[in-house]
Amino acid sequence: MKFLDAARDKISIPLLISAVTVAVVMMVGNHLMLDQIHEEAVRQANRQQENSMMAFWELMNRRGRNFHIDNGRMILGDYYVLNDANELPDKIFCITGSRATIFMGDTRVATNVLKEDGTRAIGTKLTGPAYDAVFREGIRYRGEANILGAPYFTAYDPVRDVNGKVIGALFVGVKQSEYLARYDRINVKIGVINGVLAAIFVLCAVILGLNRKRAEAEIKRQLNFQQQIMDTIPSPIFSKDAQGRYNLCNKAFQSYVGLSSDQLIGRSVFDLWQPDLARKYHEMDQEIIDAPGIQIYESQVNYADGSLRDVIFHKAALRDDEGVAQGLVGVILDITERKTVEQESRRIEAQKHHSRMIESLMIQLNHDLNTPLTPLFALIPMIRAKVSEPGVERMLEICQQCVNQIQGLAGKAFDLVRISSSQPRLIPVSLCAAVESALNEMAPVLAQRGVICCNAIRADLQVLGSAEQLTLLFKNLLSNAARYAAQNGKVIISAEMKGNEIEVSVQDDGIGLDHEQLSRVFDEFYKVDPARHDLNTQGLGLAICRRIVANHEGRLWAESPGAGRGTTMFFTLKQVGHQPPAIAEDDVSQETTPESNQI
Amino acid sequence: MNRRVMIVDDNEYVRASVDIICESAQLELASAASGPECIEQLEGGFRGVILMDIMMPEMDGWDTIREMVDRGLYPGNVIVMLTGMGEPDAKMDGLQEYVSDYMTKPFSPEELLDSIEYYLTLLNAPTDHD
Repeated sequence: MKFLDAARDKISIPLLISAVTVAVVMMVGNHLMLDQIHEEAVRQANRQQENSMMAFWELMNRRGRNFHIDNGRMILGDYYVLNDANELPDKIFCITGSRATIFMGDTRVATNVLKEDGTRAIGTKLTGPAYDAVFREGIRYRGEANILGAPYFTAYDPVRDVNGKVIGALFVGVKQSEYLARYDRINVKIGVINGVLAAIFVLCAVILGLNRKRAEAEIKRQLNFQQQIMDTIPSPIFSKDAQGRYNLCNKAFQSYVGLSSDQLIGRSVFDLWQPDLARKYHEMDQEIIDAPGIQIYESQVNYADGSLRDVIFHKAALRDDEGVAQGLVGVILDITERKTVEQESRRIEAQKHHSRMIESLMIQLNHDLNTPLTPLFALIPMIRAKVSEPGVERMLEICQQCVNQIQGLAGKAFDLVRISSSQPRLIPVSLCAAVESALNEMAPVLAQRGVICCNAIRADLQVLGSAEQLTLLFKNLLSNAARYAAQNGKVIISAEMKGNEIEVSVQDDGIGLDHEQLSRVFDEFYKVDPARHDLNTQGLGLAICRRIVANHEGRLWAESPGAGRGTTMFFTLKQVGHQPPAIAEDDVSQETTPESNQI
Repeated sequence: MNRRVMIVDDNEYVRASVDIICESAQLELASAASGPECIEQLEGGFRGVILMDIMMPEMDGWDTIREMVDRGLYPGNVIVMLTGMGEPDAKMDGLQEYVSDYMTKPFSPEELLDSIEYYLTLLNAPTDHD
C-alpha cells in the first residue's frame, strides 16, 4: 500500500487511469473477438458432426439398408451384427475425427467413446435431451450433450426398423475439450499477450508519469532557483505580458510597490499608480514594445516606504520567433546613493577648488604683504641705528613691532591655510630630525629667554608623517614653549610607544594652564591671557598644530598640573611597521646623552 | 675685486631699500624692474650676485634664470632667490642647480648683507669665474 501511495503521489492519476482504461478496453476487445472465434468454432463443430453423421450413414448403408434386433443383437442388413462392431466407429474417427457410437435401444453396443478408465463405453446408456429427442420424440438431436460426464458437440440420429420403430440410434461427436483445445490455447496465449501488453502499457504510463513528474520537479526547481536569484538581487525586477499585466516580479519590486506578489500578478500599471503616472509608464512600455532594442531612462519614483528615489529603468521587449512582442522585462536600478556620492564628490571637488583658490589667494596675499614689508623690515633698523632721540627711537620700535606682527600673522595664516587645504602624503620620516630642524630654526627665540631644550627622542625612531609639517608642528610648539616657559627654564621633547601609536610630548616648566584654558587653547586666535598684549603672537600656533596632527590622523591635547606648574603638550603619530619601543626619556639626566640637544 | 649686486624685483620700494642697504656697505648695485631688464644688464656685461624675486608679472624669476642659462649668461654670477613662503615651485625643476641660496621676504639688512658678502667672496675666490 505504501508503494501504491508513493506511486500515486509521484505519478499523474489521470495518466494512470488512461493507461488502465486502454488496457481494459484492449482486453474486452480481445475477449469479444475470442467469443466470436468460439461461436464460429462451435458452428464448425456442429457442421463437422453433421458431415460425420452423413459419413456414418454412408458407412452403414454400404453394409445394409435395414436394421433389426434379433436375439438381443442389432443386425444391419441380413447379417451384419453391429454389437461390438467397433471398427465402424473407429473408421468414422479415422475419417472425420469424430467419435461415434451405435446404440441398440439406448445402450451403446459399439463405440469409441471412452470411459474414465480408458475402456470403450460399451453397455452404457444414453441419457439427457438426446435420449428424449431420439427415443421419446423420434427425431434427431443436434447440439451439445453430456456424455459420461464430459461435454460433447453431438449429433444423434434415430435408427428405425422396417416398421419405422426406433430401435436404436447413431451418434457422432467430439469432446468439447478436445475440439476447443486449440481455441483454448489461443485464448490463453492472447490472454497472456493481453496481460503483458497491459502491464507494459501501465509500466510505460508509470515511467512516463514519473519522468514527467521529474521534469516538472526539475522545472520547478529551476524556477525556484531563478526566483531565488531574482529575490537576492536588490534591484526591482519585473516582467509584463503583451497586455501590460505584471506576470513576474522579485521581492525588491514588491518592496518598491508595497504589495505582495499575489497582489501584483495580473495587474496593470493603471491598477497600481496614479492615472498620470500610469499613463506615462504605459507610454514608455508601448514605446519599447513598438521599437526593438533596450530602453534606458532616468526617473524619480516614490517607494512604498515614502522615500523618493532616483532610478534608472532598463526595459526590453520579449519577442517570439516572428518578432512579435509577447511582453517586456524591466529592471529598476536605484541610483540614489550614486547620485548622493556624485553630489558629495562634486561638493568635495568644489571644496578642493575653493581651498586651492584660498591657498592661491593666500600665496598672493602673502607675497603682496611681504613685498611692502621688505623695505620696512630692512629700513627701520637702519633708521633706528641713525636716531639718537629716545622718543623717536620708541616710535620706531613700535613701528618695528607692528611690522613683525604683520609678518608673523601673514606667515601663520598662510601656514594654516596651506596645511588645511590638502592631506599630506604620509611617509616614514625621522621624528628626531624633524625636532632638530625645528630646534635649529627656533634656537634664537629660545636663547632670548635662556630656555634650554632637550630632544630626548631616539635618532632612529621613524614615524609616518610629512617632514615639513612635523617640523612646522615642532616649531610652533617650541615657539609656544619659548614664550611660556619660565625664564631660563627647560623644555623636554620625548616620545613613547603606546600601543600602535607613538605619543610625543613637549613639556615646559612655565606658567601652566587652568581648566578653561586647557579646553580652548587649540582654538584659532585664542591667546592665553598674559600673552594677549604680546604683539608678536597671533593665536594661531596651536591651531596650526591641531591641523597638522589631524593631517597625521593623530590626537593633540594639553595637560597641566595647574597655573604656574608648567604645561605638557601631547600628540600621537602612527608608527612605521614594528618599530622597537621608543624610550620615554623625561629624565633630566638625558641632557648629557648624545641624542639630547641643549639650547 | 667684484662687489656688484643686481636686484631684480618689480616693486620699486624693495629695489630702493636694497639700494640703500647696499650703498651702506659700499656695494655696487644694479637695479632691474623685470626679467627682460635683468637679461639686458647681463647682456651689457653685468657679473655678480643677483637677488632675484620669484613672483614678477609676465616673466617671473624662473623664466629669467632659464633665459640666462639659454643665452649663456649664467657663468660668473651667483643667484639668490627672494621668495615668500609657498610660492609656486613647479617651474623650478631643473633650475635649482643655478640657485645658490633662498632668502625669505622680508629680510633684515644684516641677513641680506651677510648673504651678499658670502657669495661675493665665493665669486672673487681665485678658482671662480670673474
